[in-house]
Amino acid sequence: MIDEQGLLLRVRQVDTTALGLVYDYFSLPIYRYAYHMLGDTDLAEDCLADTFKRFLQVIEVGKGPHSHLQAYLYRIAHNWITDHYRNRNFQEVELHEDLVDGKLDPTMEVHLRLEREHIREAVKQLTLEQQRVIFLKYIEEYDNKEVARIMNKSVGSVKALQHRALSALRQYLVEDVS
Amino acid sequence: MKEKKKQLSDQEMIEALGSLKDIPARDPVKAKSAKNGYMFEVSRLRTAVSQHTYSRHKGWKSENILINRKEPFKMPTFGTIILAISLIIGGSGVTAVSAQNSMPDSLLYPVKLMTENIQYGFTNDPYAKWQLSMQMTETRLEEIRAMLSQGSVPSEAVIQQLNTRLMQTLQLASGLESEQAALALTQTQTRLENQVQMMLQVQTETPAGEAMKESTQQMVRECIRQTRDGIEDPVQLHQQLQQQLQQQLQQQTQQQLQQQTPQQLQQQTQQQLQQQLQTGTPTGYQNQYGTPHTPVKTMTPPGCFGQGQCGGGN
Repeated sequence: MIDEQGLLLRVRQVDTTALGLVYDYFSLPIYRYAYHMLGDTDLAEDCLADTFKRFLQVIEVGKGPHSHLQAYLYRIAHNWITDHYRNRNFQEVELHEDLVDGKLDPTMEVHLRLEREHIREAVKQLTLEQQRVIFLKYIEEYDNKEVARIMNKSVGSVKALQHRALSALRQYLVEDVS
Repeated sequence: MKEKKKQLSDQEMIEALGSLKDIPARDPVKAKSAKNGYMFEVSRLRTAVSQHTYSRHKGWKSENILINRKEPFKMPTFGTIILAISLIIGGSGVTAVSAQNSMPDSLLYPVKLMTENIQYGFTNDPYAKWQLSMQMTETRLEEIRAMLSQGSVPSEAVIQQLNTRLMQTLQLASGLESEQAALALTQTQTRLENQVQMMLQVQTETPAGEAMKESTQQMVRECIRQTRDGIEDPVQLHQQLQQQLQQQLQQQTQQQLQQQTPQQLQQQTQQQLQQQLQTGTPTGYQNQYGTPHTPVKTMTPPGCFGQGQCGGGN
């Protein structure tokens, strides 16, 4: 467990070690978030790089968060993703072959892959906010308080959003099955 | 249809969402490159911004302005060094300043090296010392590039200077605390890789220049290889460098002894005996405490950095 306050103090003093630690701790969660929201490894890499670049720009001008660094970085990444969807047309994303686990029976492998893709496609039909809450709550398993902090909302609104997201997802999944 | 809807409970959907937890593994090359890029930006940021707010000039912010009316004079280290040099060598501080842009074939170059060494000597913080050493390494490489571009070939002494700096930089980086060492070595690797790229762009006019360029590149590449190993295990690299340094010292001492004629040896022994008689203490005792004695060079031959795998300079 890191001492966030101490780390942030060192970050604001442009301490190289602290800035390196920030990257080591948070690059993977941000990458996972970007991948889930964008569905593409290259775009996720771009998002990650730009997120930390924007973070350094903020530090350079003497600003930056005084607490909840993780939530702050997620918000930068989310803004990048929102800009990305605003600025370009949607593209169909191919299924990644590297998701295949070679140890499984091929029939089972295909079945699992199809099921996963089916769920992924259903999630993609949700709104960006609903996708965010699904990712943070059910894939990364953050508690409601942390999700609220990351999404800059109250716990109550997060719960309501979760409920709406699950209902919508259920509908999409059932429609697909039928 | 209705049956399907009933079957999909929240719990089932949450379990189904769990299958999305697996994502493709990050490409290690891209991940490393991204980290290096970030750390490079951090290093640039660090040099561009003052390190600590309390180190800023804040003389006017004194609470008791009636007593501390006068602004305390905060002279930067470099300025202090220049002033000290100017006082020592009789008001020729301008020389020290103008020497900062001199090239190895210039008369003022020794002054530049002396200024650098003094600045290095004044630095106590290990991290700052590594940073300074890294900057000096880059300066040496910049000088070599400039000379090669102008059609001149750097002397062996210049290459030795570079070799010493490279080794010193690696030693300092690997000697830092574990986290800092990893970061310093990563930065060293990135910055040296940039130097290799810049060296590749240099156009040489003579075969000797081309050979020197190749030898320098090999030396830096060998250093990058060692840095890469050091990122995995800084302690081992540190020990390895110390052993290399000791071996080089022994070899050079032996070479010096072999090169000396019997007359020189006899003369040296007589000098030592005279010194011993004057001071009344054995020479070995004096050497232990660093009293003047035959200086031992710590430089390595060009192109033989590390475990002699470069070989380009020979």
